[in-house]
Amino acid sequence: MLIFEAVVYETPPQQAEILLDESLFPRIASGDKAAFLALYEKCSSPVFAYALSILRSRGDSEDAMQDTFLKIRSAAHLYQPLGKPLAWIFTITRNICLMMYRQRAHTAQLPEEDRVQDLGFDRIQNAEDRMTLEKAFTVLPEDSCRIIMLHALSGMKHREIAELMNMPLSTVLSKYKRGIEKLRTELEGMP
Amino acid sequence: MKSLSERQINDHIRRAASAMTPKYAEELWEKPVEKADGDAWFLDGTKQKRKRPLRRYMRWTALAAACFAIVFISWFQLFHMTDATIYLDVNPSISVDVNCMGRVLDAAADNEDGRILLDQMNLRNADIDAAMSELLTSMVRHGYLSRTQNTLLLSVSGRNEKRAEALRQRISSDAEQALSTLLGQGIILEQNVDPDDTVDEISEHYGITPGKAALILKLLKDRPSWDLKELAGMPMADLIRSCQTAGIDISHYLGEGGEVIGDLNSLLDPDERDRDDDNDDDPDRDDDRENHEKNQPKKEEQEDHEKDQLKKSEHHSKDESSERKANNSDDSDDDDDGDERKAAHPTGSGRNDADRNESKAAHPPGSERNDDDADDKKDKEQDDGKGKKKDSDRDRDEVEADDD
Repeated sequence: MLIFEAVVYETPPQQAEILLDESLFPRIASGDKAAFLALYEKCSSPVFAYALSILRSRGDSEDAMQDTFLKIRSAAHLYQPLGKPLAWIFTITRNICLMMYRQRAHTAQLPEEDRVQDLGFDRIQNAEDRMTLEKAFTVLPEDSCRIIMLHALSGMKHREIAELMNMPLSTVLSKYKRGIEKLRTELEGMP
Repeated sequence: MKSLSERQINDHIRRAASAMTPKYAEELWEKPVEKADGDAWFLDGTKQKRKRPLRRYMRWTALAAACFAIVFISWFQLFHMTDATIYLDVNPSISVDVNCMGRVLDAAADNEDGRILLDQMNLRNADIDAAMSELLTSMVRHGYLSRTQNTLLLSVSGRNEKRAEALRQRISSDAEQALSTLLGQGIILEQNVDPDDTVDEISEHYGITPGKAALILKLLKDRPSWDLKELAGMPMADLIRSCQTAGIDISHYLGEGGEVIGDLNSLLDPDERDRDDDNDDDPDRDDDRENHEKNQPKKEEQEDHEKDQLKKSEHHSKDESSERKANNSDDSDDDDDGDERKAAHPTGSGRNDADRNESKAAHPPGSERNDDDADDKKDKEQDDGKGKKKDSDRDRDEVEADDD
């Protein structure tokens, strides 16, 4: 069983912060497809999960993710190398999500149970993975969920997350820690 | 589920999100996009990241600049701002600015005699004690201070009352020691002053320090008949003698905290200068005169100079006397008038001891009374009430100009 688990769960080593080469942006601006594909490969998952944590809808999150990468292509020539490319990308994602959120405010809200299904977790084949992500979105407060998504998927430091979310660092650390504890409790209680 | 670590939880989340994320890279690359300009809405907040490091540095820079400014201002106030001014009047009048630490920032002469003294010394950055010693020694060397002219007026004006008082006591002690060493004894009049515009104007006009100007103004309040210009031109010893002759205790005019160090009576005491050769205890005027003539050759030059000055002032005062007569109409006691007039115009013609003493108030002891002085006095008496119109008009104009 242990060996099986080791084979199945052979994942790449613990992912540290996503290391993005800032030279990708001017290359994308000049029409380098390979650079764009490399950027998408590294950042699509964190962008999608972050959008999902804001919009709470798989369809909207996919749209937001696509819009993010289209905006990256259109504004790549404006990127200024400040050493924080992820922050630049996630800020674009946040702005797009907020725009969509405001536009959606006038539409009817789905019932609670439909909203959970709307997240599309059923597409995740691994049960533990699915359960963990599902719990993060259903049990945790939205801020905690968002912080955990950013840290877990992109490896962003808590200070950078605090800047992105415009929160004090201590608040971010506190919400992250409480969120992880709650997730642990919830997951350990499950069969 | 088994117990999970934070890393394990994050791993589960990462794999789950990766499984959910659609793969649209190729389609997104094919879509046409327009180049955005700098103020596109979706770029809001993306440039804020640059400010953060600067803001942090600016905070520290501002703090460092504030600390530096505080240190600099404190240093400047300690070392470069005038904390007090010391005014020295003998006949030379000198003003000395000092900082909090008692260091000389600047020394300025208020009259020509002061300029002669200061031209030969550089007191900047000197300790005030050393500066005082050097000034007094130089005054003795130049003859401004002597055994018979051993009086100085020491005035202090400061931003802080306590510090000014402490400074005054310190330099008074320096002066006393210096005079004692150089001359055997000395008389020091001390006062605190806070010059106003009137005092400053008078001091500038008559070439005296604000300290002396303030003292003279106080004297003139009680003795309005006295001549400001004449008092301003008197050495301190002569000023004191004039006061004593008029029965004035000058220590009363030194203000709160002011004091006199030394014996004022020694200025008028003939025995002090008695060189009694025959030891009979009688006042020996001839002995005094001879010894003074022998021992003070430099004095003659000074006396001649002073005589010339007095002559000039007498010309100016001839018509003032008639004006003064009119102003003194309330005085019923003629003798008092006479004393006051003589104190202000010390060129008395009286040949008795009292008159001679009065006249010494303006003429340093040992000076000759000559015929010119007697004639001038006669002329003055004759002209009282008459006035020589030719000169008087001119003089009056000059006096009025002086008084403006």
